[in-house]
Amino acid sequence: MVAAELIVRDLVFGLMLGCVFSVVAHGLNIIWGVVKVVNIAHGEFIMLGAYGAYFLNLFAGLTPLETAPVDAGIGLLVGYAFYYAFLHRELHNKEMITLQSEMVTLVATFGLSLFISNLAIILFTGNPVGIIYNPGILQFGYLTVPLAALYVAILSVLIIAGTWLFLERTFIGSAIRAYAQDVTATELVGADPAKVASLATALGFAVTMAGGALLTVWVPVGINPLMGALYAPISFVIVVLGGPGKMWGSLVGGLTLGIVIDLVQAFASAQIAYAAAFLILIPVLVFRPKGILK
Amino acid sequence: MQAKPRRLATRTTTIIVIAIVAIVIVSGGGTYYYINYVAPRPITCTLPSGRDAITVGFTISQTGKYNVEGTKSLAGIQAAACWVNNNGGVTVNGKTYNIILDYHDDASLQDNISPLYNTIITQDHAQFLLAPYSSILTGSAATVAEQNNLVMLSHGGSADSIWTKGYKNVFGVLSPASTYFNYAIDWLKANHPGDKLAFLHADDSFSAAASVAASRYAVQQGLTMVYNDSYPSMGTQDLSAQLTKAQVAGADDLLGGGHYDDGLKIVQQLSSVGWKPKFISLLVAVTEPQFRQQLGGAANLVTGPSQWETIVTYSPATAQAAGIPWYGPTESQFVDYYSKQANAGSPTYHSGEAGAAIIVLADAIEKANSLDTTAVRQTLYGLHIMTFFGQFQVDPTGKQIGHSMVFVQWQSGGLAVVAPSLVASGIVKYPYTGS
Repeated sequence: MVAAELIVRDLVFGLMLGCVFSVVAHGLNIIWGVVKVVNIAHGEFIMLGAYGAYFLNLFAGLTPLETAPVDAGIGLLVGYAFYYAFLHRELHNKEMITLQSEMVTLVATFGLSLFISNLAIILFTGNPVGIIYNPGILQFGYLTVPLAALYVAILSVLIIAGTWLFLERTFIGSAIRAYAQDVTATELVGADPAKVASLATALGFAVTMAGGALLTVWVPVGINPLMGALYAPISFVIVVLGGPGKMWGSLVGGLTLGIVIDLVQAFASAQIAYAAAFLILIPVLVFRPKGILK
Repeated sequence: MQAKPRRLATRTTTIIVIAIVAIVIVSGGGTYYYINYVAPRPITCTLPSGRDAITVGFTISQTGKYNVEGTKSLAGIQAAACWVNNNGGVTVNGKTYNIILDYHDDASLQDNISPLYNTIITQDHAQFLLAPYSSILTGSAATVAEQNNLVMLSHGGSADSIWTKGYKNVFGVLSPASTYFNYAIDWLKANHPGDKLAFLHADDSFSAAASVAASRYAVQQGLTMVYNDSYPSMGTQDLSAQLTKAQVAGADDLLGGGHYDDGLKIVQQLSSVGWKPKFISLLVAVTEPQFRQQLGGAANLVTGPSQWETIVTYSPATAQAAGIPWYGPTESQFVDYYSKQANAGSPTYHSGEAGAAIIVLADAIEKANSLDTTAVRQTLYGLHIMTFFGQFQVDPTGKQIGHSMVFVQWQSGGLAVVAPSLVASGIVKYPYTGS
């Protein structure tokens, strides 16, 4: 009975944690899937999103949920700037990304990652900060659900659903999907590949920074310049689990990771839970190298 | 237009001059009186001239994970060094020295410790060392101290493992981690022996040493332990799974934590999982005023161990009664120096233990009558004194055995000392209410 109770609680917490993991990884997934660039600085933009939420809370009193759209707006602008500063020169006029382009963008974003994290240490100091946001709890018998985590989980799913709708049901979305499949064909039907790629990058950054804002609910005293080093690997694992470029893959990968981390902790230590979460990557890569989703 | 009579003009000038002189005398005298008799006299820490310097080098966490504890520690060190320099300095072979502090921010990162201590030793030419804050950073600094054969006093690293590695130069000022929870366990044994205990701690060396020793001690005392687990000290933010397991295991009381951030997130997340333990005792965080400021009512009735509180007053009379020598400022002098010179508010136990490290070092150098590492090291091994922080006496490994801890609890917005009874300002209130 006690074990069942524990499993139900950990399952619920794992689902909520998985949702926020999903949205944090979703931005990486969009850029990786569409522009075919692995953004090594992804963790740093999660960190900037979290700091954005922190300062908006500090100076404007906004909750993490309210800061997410503001962070997303900032992310759009940052994404555009990022594309034209780091990717455009290497990617434009290319029908498909080459090994050289992969290496160039990999090194460029790695350098950017180091620059941002060190600049953040200078600007924000290394002192961890956090947002106190506690709208209460829901009680279902023995099960206690914190409303903050529940709201964040719902908003995370809505963000992923929103990007899916945008990509599936709008003209710009169709152009982005076309670009992801064939750059030349996109050009032939009259769309400017650079504009499409920059838009996809901007969308990815908007989602990443909104994810950083939502993540603050789960890191009560953990916003710091080096937090990206923890969440970037988690994001990479989620994208690989779900399948790069598959929009619902982020959710599948995130939920898988969140549930494994929390459920294993019902029976083993946190250290083993994180090891197990990363361990599931191996069978997935062996048996389903394109991700869990078909 | 008619001119003023000359006599009248002279008289007016005279009155004006007298008025100006009177104003100058009154305001000058008033200022002199205010500065000397009314205004609080600032404690200046300009180094007395005509003395040579003893350079004490160390790193401290002014930023990063341990910034709260590190900032308080630094202010304590500065206050104690100021007191030593303002009270005759350190005399060696009839020559007087000032204590000069040479410190760097280690950003709470272990990777920074070795390079920074090598800089302190080889470039800054520090003659003596203080350890950084925390056991993990102290462990890294201790190896550098040993390699360079320099005496190092540990004020913020209390993991027992520091003194099991055979180091000759590392001396603890504070009680070892294995004793941190003794008062909490003793109180539970005496008052609620039927309570079931849960231990949850970070896996760094200090937190593990404190909690593992406490869980053993609890079992020895006949208490029931239903949950005992750790979590990675770096990066773990979500403790809901562990707290839920402890609750489901039927625990009444929760002991553990780690450093400041750990205590904060444990109390914050208790409400998320809907668990209200009857008794909470957490390491380190509880003694910091920010703990109460950040948590508000949730901090009320949380208990924790403390190395020192200002309410616990050791004095020259206490030392005399114990038959051991006294050295350094009294507790009120230290608080005075701390609050005025360091401009750092009230000292916490991190300030006290860090300040005590400087006081003990100064006394050891004077007693050794030498700046030589070997002489000072030998003196420290045999030193048994009392300072404002309590007794100092180490065992043959350098581990502290003379100092006594206290047990505190937040009660109605204030931190009360609840054990030992000799110095207590209140009694433990039970159960924890969460507000």
